[in-house]
Amino acid sequence: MSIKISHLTHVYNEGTAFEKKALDDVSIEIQTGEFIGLIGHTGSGKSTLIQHLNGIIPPTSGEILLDGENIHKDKAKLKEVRRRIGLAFQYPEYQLFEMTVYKDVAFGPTNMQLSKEEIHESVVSALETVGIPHELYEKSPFELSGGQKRRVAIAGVLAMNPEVLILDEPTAGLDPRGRDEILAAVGRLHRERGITVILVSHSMEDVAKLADRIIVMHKGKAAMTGTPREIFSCPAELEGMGLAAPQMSYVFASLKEKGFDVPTDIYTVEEAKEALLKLVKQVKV
Amino acid sequence: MKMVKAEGLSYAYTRLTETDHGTEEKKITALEQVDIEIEKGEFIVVLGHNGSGKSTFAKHINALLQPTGGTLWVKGMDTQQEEKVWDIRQTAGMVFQNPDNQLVATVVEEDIAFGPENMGIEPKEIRRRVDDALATVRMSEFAAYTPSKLSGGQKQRIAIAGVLAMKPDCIVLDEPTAMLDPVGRKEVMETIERLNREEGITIILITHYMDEAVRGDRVYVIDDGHLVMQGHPKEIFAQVETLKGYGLDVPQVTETAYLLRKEGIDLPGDILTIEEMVGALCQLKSAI
Repeated sequence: MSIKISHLTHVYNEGTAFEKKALDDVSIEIQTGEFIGLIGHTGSGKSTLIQHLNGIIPPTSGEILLDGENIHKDKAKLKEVRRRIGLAFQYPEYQLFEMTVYKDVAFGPTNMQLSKEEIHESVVSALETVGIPHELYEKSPFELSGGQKRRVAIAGVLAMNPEVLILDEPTAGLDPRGRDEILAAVGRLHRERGITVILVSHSMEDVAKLADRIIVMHKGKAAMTGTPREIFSCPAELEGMGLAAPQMSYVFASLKEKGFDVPTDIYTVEEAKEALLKLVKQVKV
Repeated sequence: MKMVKAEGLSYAYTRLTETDHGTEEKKITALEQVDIEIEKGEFIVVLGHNGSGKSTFAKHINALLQPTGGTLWVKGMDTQQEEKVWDIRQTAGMVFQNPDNQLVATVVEEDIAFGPENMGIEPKEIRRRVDDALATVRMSEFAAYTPSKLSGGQKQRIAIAGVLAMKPDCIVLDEPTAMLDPVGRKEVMETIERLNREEGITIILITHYMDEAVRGDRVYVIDDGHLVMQGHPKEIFAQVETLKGYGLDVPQVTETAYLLRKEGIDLPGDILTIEEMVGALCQLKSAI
């Protein structure tokens, strides 16, 4: 499903002393199956933007089109919009509430009035996608580790079979292992299910690993958009917006400045290793 | 006298789980035989994956938890002596992960005054401490703000100021930047480093961010309740494989240098920062 955001503006507390323009004439198009990294510092408008995408907050002006149709045109259809666009909030594990992992994930599909078999299929498939083994299905979600809890919460959204999955800061507060587990699960669900993923994060390293395209929000505007390679090759611009590029971007920018013949669009450890090996060999010859 | 000293520190508890066959008891050992000595003025970083026991350790320093084995002293005070608890908490202040869970008042300066007020300090002195604390965390202009209007990084600095107003010798910070964006993280880290350098306050920082960990004087790694590594960041981060085995990470530059060394490139084994990496590569070039 394609998403088109057209001239979207949102003003909080309009007409009061606390009036704040959170989104300022934002226009973005997202194609089916894309993996989008949405970055921006706190207050840049990224959370306001994603809450518009599944109709939680209505725009002050502008519109959100799903497959060409304005989501607010028919209020009765908003429920369907929210099923098609799944949103996993920040700290989604706080929203776990059932007695068992299985029941928690089954909550959404059960409310969709599916048959027992369909519910079972959605639940198992969602839990398998996020890498929760069968022996945990009957455990209380509160007995799990932080990373596991969060994956169960994401499975709860996934079990509704959304066409788009939005994840708001899915790795915040996790340790490196928990973070890697979540990112692996997100990468897998994008590959296996072919659904559109929008990953909101302030971790450039996380976004760099997975996203096809990055949208940088700044002061309520979509300030930059491009592939990770394009975005991270301008670390200075990112800094100006309160963000930071991966460490390697800085190393290569600095080497280039010192007159080395190196590419400046390197941001992962593996690429850096190859590029530096080449550089050293070049010098030797 | 050591600022913090632990000898054979252990903490175990019983977890009750409801099952079909009734209630099951399970004994969990969160800390086992931990020996630690922290000098006054040190900047200590504690690493470990979630559930490793590092937060349990931090809570002992503030006497929020009592050891079930061994002893922990804060500035010579045994945390198991009930009558010392308030002195201990005043000596070792604590800042937690979520900025929204630790601010209590509706105005910034009132929030900072909360601690000293409860200590029975006279109003004039409270005023002075609040102003000093705000100046130290560079938040003076926000004295009359309501905390809900501040950013995450600003809220954490207010939480730190609240601890500072109690004139602690030591501050324990449990993942203070985990919920912050890059700007907030930078603000908080700069504040912590300044407190350590300029005010001589002992810092014990628990974090998952390796780029923060490299800034400490000494790093402790806790795994499965045991203290498994300790040393200067350069010694710790040189052991890339061992750290990964404990579910931890190393900074990108350190990992790249490690991979290049494995390929036979002559780089130092203790590169931790971008500047060191660039410097080492430049040297390598001029050497050839």
